[in-house]
Amino acid sequence: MRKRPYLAFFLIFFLASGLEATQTYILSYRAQVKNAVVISESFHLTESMKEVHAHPAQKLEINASNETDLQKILEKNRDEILEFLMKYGTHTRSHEKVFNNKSSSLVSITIPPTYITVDFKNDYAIITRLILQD
Amino acid sequence: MKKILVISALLSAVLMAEEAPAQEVFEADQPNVVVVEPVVVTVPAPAPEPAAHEGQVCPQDMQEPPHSAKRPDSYKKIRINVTGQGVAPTMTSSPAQAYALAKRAAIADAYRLLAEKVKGVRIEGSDKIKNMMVQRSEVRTFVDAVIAEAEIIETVFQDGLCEVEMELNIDPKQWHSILASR
Repeated sequence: MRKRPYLAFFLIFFLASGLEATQTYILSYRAQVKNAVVISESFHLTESMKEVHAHPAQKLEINASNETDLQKILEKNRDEILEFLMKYGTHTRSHEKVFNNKSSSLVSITIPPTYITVDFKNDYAIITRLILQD
Repeated sequence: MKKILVISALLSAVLMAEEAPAQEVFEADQPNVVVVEPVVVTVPAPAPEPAAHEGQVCPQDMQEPPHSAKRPDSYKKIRINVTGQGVAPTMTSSPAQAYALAKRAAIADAYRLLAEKVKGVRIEGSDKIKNMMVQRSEVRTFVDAVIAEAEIIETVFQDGLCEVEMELNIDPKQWHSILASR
């Protein structure tokens, strides 16, 4: 019975450390543009299901006043986040067809699945891009 | 040289020996005034050193950049500027959505233009001619590239058309071998 206080201490310690740990997410994006008009757009964000060995790279601070729901934050600041992530590698594919002097084009831009972490600090959400270690 | 030093040392010893009694005598109402003739010891001046180059700056040196900054013209950064254009779809719920979608289309177009310039375009074409008349003409172009470090410089939205100016800086030191092999 004497061990109980120690167990409680360790339980509290692990719970606290779990709360403070930053969650890792995987983010990907794809947009298709046909004849200069966006026809489809997909934006995926999911929690990483396993621990990744990566080191932090670039950071982006977003004003997230009293908001902790990441989905809502991403919805509000989607352009800013996409511009930030596009800077570090955007896959571009283009198919253009000119048939009897009539042109049509299809361009798709893709941000490949990227690991990010999100921290909340003083009404700011700090998004950190991760680079996987070999 | 040694002789001069020895003479000067002897003279200074003599002077020091005579100085103390002279002071005492001087204090006692100066009965005997000892006049010491000045001794001039000539010491050859050291040979003048050549002027230090570091301290002197000539105007020509000032105009030239430091050695590390000297680069041949081929190592200057390559800057590629493109302007992508996008149009908002007709069925949009709000002007904000129209703007966002037009901007997205313009960004995609700008990325395509950058990819065309950096990676190149694959072109396939075919013409079908029958009885001396073109019946079918088709040209297909493909671009496939990954663009990194491109930055949006300016975004202009006017009359339903969005124009995005993008810039890409390429360091030839890093990419010269790849670009030169193409």
